[in-house]
Amino acid sequence: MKLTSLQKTVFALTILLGILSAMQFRAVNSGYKYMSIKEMYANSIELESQKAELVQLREKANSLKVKIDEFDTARTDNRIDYESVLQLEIENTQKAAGLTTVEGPGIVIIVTDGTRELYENENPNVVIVHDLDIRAMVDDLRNAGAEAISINGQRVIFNKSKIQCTGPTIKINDQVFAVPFVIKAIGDRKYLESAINAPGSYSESLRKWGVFVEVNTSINVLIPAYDGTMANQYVIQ
Amino acid sequence: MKTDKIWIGIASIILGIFIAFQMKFIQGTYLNGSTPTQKTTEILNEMAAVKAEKEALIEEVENLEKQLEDIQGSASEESAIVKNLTDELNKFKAFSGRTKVAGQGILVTIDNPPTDGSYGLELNIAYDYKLILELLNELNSAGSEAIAINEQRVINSTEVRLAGSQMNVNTIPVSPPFVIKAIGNSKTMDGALNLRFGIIESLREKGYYVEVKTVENIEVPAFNGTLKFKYANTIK
Repeated sequence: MKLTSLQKTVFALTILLGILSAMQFRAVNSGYKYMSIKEMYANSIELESQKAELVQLREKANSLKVKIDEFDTARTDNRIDYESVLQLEIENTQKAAGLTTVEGPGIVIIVTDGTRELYENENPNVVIVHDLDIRAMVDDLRNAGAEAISINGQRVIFNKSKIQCTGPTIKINDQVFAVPFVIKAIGDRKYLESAINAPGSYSESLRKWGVFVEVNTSINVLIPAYDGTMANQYVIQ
Repeated sequence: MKTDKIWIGIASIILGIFIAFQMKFIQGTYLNGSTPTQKTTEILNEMAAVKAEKEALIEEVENLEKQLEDIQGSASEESAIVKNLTDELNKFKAFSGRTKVAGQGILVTIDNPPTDGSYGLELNIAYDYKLILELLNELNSAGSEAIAINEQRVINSTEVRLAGSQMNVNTIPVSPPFVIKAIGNSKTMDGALNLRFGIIESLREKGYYVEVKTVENIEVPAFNGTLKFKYANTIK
């Protein structure tokens, strides 16, 4: 049997195809795990998060090393008073816990119910300040790097401060307040101001609904210490 | 007959060009130029390396903390004043969330619903981060004493924030499922969350998967970041 030239070409091409697909198969299958693009995306977010934690931990390890050094020298060196080092550390921790009165540059926000006329059948709730509005604004401020926040003279700290709706009033740190709400925050004035004024911020939607929001920057804002209870019932160290 | 073959040939060439374009485009936009298999191994290898480093660092931090405690402990044995001061320091440290704590509490797991091809819009809990904020506030109202989201301790400066398509807590990006741990009276917290028309119900109504479990003993990690005050000054 004699092969025609067409049959020869097809034969050669088939062999080539076989070799190529075998190569492809090996490349794909050699110990690689298959992952869909979506899964890959989720994994890369996870990676990002792990890396951020790594940075955080490294920083903590470094600050611990510095602290160990400090305490060690304070203990061994007679010229340094160990008690005063300890006292300083206590003050810093108190500050971080929100237990000291602080002052610094910051902003003062005034939030109060809107005074505009309602449209027909409009729900009056849209022009009234709610507990969740205040919470969202506090979150916006924290995100902008606020170092201390107070609402109507009550220091906002996380584990003990709750901002709750109690009918016509809002309860902050177990004390009842009505409008207007004066929120003070210490931090970078520009960042804090833009956190409240920027398009897309929560306050922007508040303003659109008709709630009155005013922001003023100040060179010196005074924020009182948290003076509520510190007792824990359920936590075991 | 012959013109037919020519046309088929031209059509094949065009098809080939399109396929090549398509592949290039996908690689360029989603994978930054590498093939899917390369990228996959890259990600997985890097993940393993990062995780190993994290473990080592956690251990190092624990060792360092112990060292510091030893120094402070041995110092407080020498005088009563120092001992009192050290106790005070530890109290404030615990209050500001810098110690690992344990106790009875609840465990809330929130996850996106499984993706269904028939829906055009995908639900992502990160976009509804205000509901997470509300959940935290409800937990605070119910008397929780320590809270953590995906091992990030919630402290005074903690923000819960949408960043891109993920959520940031303590500036660390976290991705669902969100595991929220809270220490406090587990019955009160469970009841407050599962209130009719409460927060859990509104989360479920939106389509998220939520599970609340009361736990006998739950561990909440310490805050791992470092707090720096640049603007606020203490006044006496």
